[in-house]
This record gives sequence, structure tokens and C-alpha cells, in this order.
Amino acid sequence: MNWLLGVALHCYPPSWRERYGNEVLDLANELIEHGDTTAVGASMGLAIGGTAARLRQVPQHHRAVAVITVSIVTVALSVSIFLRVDSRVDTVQTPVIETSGGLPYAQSGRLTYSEIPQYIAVDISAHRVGYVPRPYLYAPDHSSNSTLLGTVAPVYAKNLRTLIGYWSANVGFSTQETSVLEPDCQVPYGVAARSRSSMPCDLSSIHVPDLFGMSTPEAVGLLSGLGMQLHLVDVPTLFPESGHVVSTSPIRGATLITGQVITIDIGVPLRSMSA
Amino acid sequence: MSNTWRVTSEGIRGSSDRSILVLTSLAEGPKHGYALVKDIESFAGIKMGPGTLYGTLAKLEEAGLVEALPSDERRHPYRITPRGLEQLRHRLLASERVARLGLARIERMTP
Repeated sequence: MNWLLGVALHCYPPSWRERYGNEVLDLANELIEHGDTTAVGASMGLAIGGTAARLRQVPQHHRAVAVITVSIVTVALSVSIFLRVDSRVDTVQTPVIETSGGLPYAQSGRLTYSEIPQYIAVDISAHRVGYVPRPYLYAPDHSSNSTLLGTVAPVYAKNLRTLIGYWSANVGFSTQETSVLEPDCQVPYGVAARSRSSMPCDLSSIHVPDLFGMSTPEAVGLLSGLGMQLHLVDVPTLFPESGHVVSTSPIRGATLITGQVITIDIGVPLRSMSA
Repeated sequence: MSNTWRVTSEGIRGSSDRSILVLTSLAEGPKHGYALVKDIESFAGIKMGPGTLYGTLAKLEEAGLVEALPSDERRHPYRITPRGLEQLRHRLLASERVARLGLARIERMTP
């Protein structure tokens, strides 16, 4: 807005500008920096002061004409400044129109990224849809590297602002109440290549239950129901009795992500192992 | 000399409040523009804009009541001259007389 101060300073007579111009600009900038005034306020003050200074130089009998002329010029200048500032504000605040909807029909069998809505409609129940941001489901053209692709996606209401839940390829939709988003949820075990995740912990992680002494069918049924992959290992044992869980790896209480492998040690009689 | 005094008197009469405020602030010692603005705001509650302040300073400098000192980078200090001190005293005493008279009359009017 220095241009505004510069314009306002030209309201002063040249001799006055030459003597005080730099000083008054330095002071105006210092006041603006300290938040004591605004560029528009300081410029208006300079314009009024400059006009008054010019009028004092006009002979007394010509002042009425000079006042009218200056008033017209001042009003025109104010309007032009207002329009210029206003147009800048408009430029900055022009809202971005976001597209949303289902996937269009691909005539060539393939959709380009720009054809896909920015928010893609997904079914969240029999009669309701939510909207998932495009980068969670598609990578931009000519790019296979998208950090969001395949991760758990936020699902928004029709206004594209209200978060209503999450959606992932494995789990589908879950409401916000049942899946609290933890942006940097730390996965405590395994998944070495992905130690940080945007996945909601409560949605996709489980704690290894206490299986000690549980029969093999019971343990297998329980862990399979939690979506875990199982690896059974026979270990010689005297207690608990044969066919029951001796231990697990990882141990009870550890956190795993759905689909990870859990090893269950099943007790077998010492004799059978030695045979 | 008489011409200077005439300009001086007109200068103070024409923008009495602002000139008195600036001279009163400078009576404490030399100040640059920003210090003047803040000082006047603190003792008078009036926030002078850059155009108003320099319009006043220009008139006072033209009348020989203040003078510019060497600049320090972007700050440009001014100080009051002996003539400025004399004029300020004269104006403040006159104001004091008016103030006393007015207050006394108010006292008499108050039941």
C-alpha cells in the first residue's frame, strides 16, 4: 500500500514534499508497522493535509474555485482508490467452487483425473451417500505416487465440510462415533515399512487377547473373527493340557492391525514331539 | 522581525490546539515524529496522524518556534527554540487566565 501513501503525498505542494516528504513517509510507515494506523487512514490524512497546504498557497479571492475543484478531484480519487482496494479484496476472496458427485461414465474406458469430481460420492448406507476427497481414491494423471491413496479416507456430508465418518477399502464406511481419527496414530508393533499411519487406531487395530489355556478351535475362531491371520506352531508342554494355547507372539495386550499374522503356540504332548 | 512574529501569532492562532500540543511535547526535550505522536497521545489523549503532525511542524518551523536536528536513519528529531518556549509560555499563561476565570464563574453559577 506504499503506492497509496505516495499518491496522497502528491497532494502537497512540491516545495513542501521536497522538505518533509521523506520524513512524513517514514513516520507513516512507522505508525503502520506499530499498528497505530492503516495505510488507508494515513493516506487519507496526508491527502487532506496536502490539500489544505495547497489551498493556503492560493490567493484569497481564488480560494472558492480552488476548494470546489479540489473537492471534485478528492471525491474522484477516493472513489478510484475504493474501487481499486475493493477489486483486490474481491480477487483474494473469490471462492473456489468444489465439484462433487459420482464417477462419470468413461467412454474411452478410462477417466482422466480432471474428469473425476473433487469429492467422490460413496454409499454409506442404503439411502445415503457421503463424499470422499479425490486424492484418497485416485492418483493424478501420470503420477503413481500419492501419499493419500489407499489410506483411510474422511467422508464428508453434502456441504463437503462436515465430517461424518471414514471409509476404507477393507472396512467400508464407519461413522465418526465408532472411529476416532488420530492423524498420527503410532502403530506399536510390526508394519515396519509404515510405522506412522493416518488410520484411525480404533478402527483397524486390535489388542491381542489373553488366549492362554484356550482350546485351539476357540482361539482360532476368536482371532479369525477379529480379522487376523494365524500361524499355528506345536510346542511340547506338560501344562496346559495338549491342544490348548501355551503362548502367543506377540504377547497378550499387544496392538496389531487387522490382517496381520499372529503366531499361536499350541501345546502337544512331549512324547509326540520326540517321536 | 515583526513579520516573523505576525506569522508566529497567526500560526498558533490558526491551529492553536495542535501547535500547543506539539510545543508542549517538545518542551520536555527533542523528539522525532513517532515519539511526538505517542507523547501527545499519552498526555492529551489525541492521536495525531502523520499529515497533521508534519503540517503543524512545518508551520512551527517556518515561524521559527521549532527546528530540525540532524536525522538518525529514518527518524528526524525536532526541538523547541527559545522563541518557541516563550510563545508557549505566553499561550499557556493566557489559557490559564481564561481557565481560572471560567472556573470561577462556574463556581458562582453552581448552587
